[in-house]
Amino acid sequence: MPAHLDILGERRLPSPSMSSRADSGRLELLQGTLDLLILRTLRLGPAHGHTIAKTIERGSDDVLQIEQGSLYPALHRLIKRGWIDFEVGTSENNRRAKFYRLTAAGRRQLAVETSKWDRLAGAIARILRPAAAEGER
Amino acid sequence: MTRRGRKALDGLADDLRDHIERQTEENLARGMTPDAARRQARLALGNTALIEEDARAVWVSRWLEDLRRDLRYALRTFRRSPGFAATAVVSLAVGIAAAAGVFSIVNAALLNPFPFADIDRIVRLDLNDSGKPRGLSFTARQLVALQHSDVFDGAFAWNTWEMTLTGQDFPEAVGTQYFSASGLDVLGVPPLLGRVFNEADGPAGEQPQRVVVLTYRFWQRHFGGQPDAVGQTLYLNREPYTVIGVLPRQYFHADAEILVPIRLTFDPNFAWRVQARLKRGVDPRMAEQRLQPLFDQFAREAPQRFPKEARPLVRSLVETQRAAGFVPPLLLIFAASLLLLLLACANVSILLLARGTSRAHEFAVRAAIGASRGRLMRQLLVESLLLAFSGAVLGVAAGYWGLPAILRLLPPDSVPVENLIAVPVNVPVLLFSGGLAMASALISGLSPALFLSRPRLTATARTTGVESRRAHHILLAAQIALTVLLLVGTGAAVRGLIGLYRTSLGYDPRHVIIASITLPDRSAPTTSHTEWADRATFYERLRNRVADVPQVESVALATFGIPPESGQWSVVVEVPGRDMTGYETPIVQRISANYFATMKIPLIRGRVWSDSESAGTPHVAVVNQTMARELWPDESAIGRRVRMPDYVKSSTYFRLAAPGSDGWFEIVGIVGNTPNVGLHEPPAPSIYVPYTLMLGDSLNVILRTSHDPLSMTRSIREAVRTVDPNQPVNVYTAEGALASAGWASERFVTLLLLGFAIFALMLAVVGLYSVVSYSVSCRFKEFGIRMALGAGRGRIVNAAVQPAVLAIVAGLFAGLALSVGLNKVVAQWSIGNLNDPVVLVAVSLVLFVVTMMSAAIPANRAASIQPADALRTD
Repeated sequence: MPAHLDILGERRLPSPSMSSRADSGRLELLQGTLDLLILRTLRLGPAHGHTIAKTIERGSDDVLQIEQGSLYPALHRLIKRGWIDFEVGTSENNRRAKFYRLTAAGRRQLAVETSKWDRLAGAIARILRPAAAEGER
Repeated sequence: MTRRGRKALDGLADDLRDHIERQTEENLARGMTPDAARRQARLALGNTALIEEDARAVWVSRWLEDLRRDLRYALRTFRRSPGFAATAVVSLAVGIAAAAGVFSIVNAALLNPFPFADIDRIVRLDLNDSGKPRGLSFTARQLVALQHSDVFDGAFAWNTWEMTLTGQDFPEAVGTQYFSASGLDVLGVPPLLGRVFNEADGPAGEQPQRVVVLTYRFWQRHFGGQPDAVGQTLYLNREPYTVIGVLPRQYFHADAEILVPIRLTFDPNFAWRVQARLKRGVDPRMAEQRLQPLFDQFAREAPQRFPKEARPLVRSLVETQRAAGFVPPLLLIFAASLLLLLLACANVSILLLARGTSRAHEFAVRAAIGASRGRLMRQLLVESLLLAFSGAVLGVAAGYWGLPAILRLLPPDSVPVENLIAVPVNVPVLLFSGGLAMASALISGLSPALFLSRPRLTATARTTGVESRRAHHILLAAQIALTVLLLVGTGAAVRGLIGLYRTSLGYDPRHVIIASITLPDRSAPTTSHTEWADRATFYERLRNRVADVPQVESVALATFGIPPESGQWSVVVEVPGRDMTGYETPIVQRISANYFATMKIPLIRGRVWSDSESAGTPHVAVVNQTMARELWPDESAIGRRVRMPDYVKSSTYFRLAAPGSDGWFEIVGIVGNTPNVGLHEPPAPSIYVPYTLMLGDSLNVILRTSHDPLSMTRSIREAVRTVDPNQPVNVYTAEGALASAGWASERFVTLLLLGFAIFALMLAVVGLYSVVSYSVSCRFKEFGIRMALGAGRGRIVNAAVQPAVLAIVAGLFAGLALSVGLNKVVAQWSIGNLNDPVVLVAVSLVLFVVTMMSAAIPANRAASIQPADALRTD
């Protein structure tokens, strides 16, 4: 069993001198995956940024490691699209932080994304293990 | 950015801090030491500044954000060097104002001359006489047939003439456009006030209603722009006409001030010019094909008015406008204005380079801390964009205030610019100015951006100085070359204009006044002088009464005014035993015997008939030198007999023929040439006959006075009034007519070019001055050392100006070569000659002296450097 997989968000690379062509290929492949996982996590209820990251990591038995820096830009992207909303609150130990929660549009989007992901995963699985996939049917 | 975005970003720092705290707590719980726990939490999150930037980029386009920052930075640097910024902005402003101003004239006159709905479907109908366009008039019946053809949505007859406006101090002749009652509807001109006339106001075959529509100009002049003009009464040809509407200012169709419905009679002897509106989807060529059967039918019905092959010619009004005579000079000016803008750009380039080199340190630092070359170039381009758009705003504002003044220099009624005077800035002009600003930013900013952004962290300041100075001098030479081109063009135009003023007129226009008279329209009920004898007496009385005015030395009568206006009418002349094909039809002028004496046109040979002779309508004629030379090159023209078939035609109201003419004339004299078809054209053959043979319905009384002619207009009007109180008269001086008709467009072109040239020269001065003073400041230390080592003042000045002098000389020669090379191209636009050695030498001298002076002043400063100061500076 592999240690864990990195999930890449839409993350700008810090050094402009590095060629980004190879990276952008990877970005495209996994684009939106982080978004999907955030939406899924928020279905359980409103949460802080840190909680979201931890929930994803634990939910995958620590297989998926969130690059934490990409979490916040992703949250902002989802706010902009209207899929999640936020409210500023004070946390247990008196720190100001945002609670993020799913909107109705986000809930619909989650359904769409989930089915898209299922189809993608199924398709990839069929290609990688044709016999096993047939056998499962 | 949206409010929501701002709110989301607002708490981001708190979020991140919270995130780190939580992670730290979690790490502590796992048993890490507090320091390690906090460190790991920070590392896991990564660079918070970067995260904030990424989150920000979700809301604001990074590109826009950077642009905003660059703009702010550019503004700050300009505030630090206001002299530079002002010079650059003003240079570009003048360039853009010139180009946009000329463009707005081009737009108004050529691209969009008639600002009405679907105006490109309005066409004029003429005849295609084996390839050559020929004017054609249509009878009312033919007009009706055209109106019903399947290619037109509507067709109308029109005509211009003068109506006499009475009910004021002096009767006044007002330019009038007669329109089929449906004409304005077909043109699609909406009224500004009231309504335009329609079919019901003048059905074909009936006497039209007495209604009048005013042009904007007449409304302003006569009613002071009062809206209650509608409904008032004007006395035209002594009949009351009701004002029913006012046309918008942009209306431009013919030189007329009022419009009335035409009386369309079905009498086949009457015919009018026709314009029509094509049906949607029908183009002029299709229309010509489909009109062919109709034209064939017209030709069968009235064979005398059609050539054998009568083919219709359909041309759009806009198209014919674009082929008008003022187009070449306008395009020339447009090219010159673009050249000027290019010069302004080159100048700003030079300024940017000079200033940029002194900012080399700043750029090196920015590059060192990680700014990419693209980033630096963008910064520099944003600076030139800011300059260019400030220039454009200033330029458009200048155009808004200045353009109407410039337009008044244009020959009256030559270009449809009324709407431009009303609204000097419009959408196309704004777009064009924006495009110009963009282009000038690129042109002026590109070379500095490329040059200054070049990475050279290791190069020493000294080598950058040398390199950039070379770039300066190349740009400078280019600027001077283009300036020379503009100066040569201007010099050529000035020479051309001077030549035009000096054109031998063949007569003396000083102290000559013309009183121009047009009899009332034939349709006026009180028409008089419809018989030859009656009209002859009337004209004779007019002439005698005007001759009695004090200070009038001599009075002559002429049907067609003075040259060059007089050459509009030609006449077929037959010479016995000679085939006249291949000869130009001569210009005809009907005059009284003392016309030549009054105009001071010399009699070369023979004689002119006498007044007593012309009362008996003798069939004698006088020809000009060109005609005598062309027809009888080797023998004398005197005594020859020629026949003019026009003079046996029956009388109409427009021309009452003397009784008993057989069309045969004997040539009795030869007179000097006059520029009878235009000041630029060689004199055409011309024949003069006694005016009594054919009395037109208009007449020019030509007076030579002993005093200032302008002061005499009133007494001449009084004299005409004593003959007929209702007879309007236009009084103007020969010199005034020459200035506005013959010379105005050349004067316009020349004045504009002169303005451009002066500005270009100023730009060259500024460019040179800044380059030389920059290079002196760069080489401050070098000069100091050289002086300390014993170099004299002369050597230092020499060293300071030498590269500039090289650039000047190189630019000068390149410019001269360019001018001579472009001569052929410019010659098509018909003004001046770029090859003129006088102009070339004069331009070279002026340019050399002016530029050398502007280089010498800062160079002189180099000589006053104190070596000790120079050595002490860093």
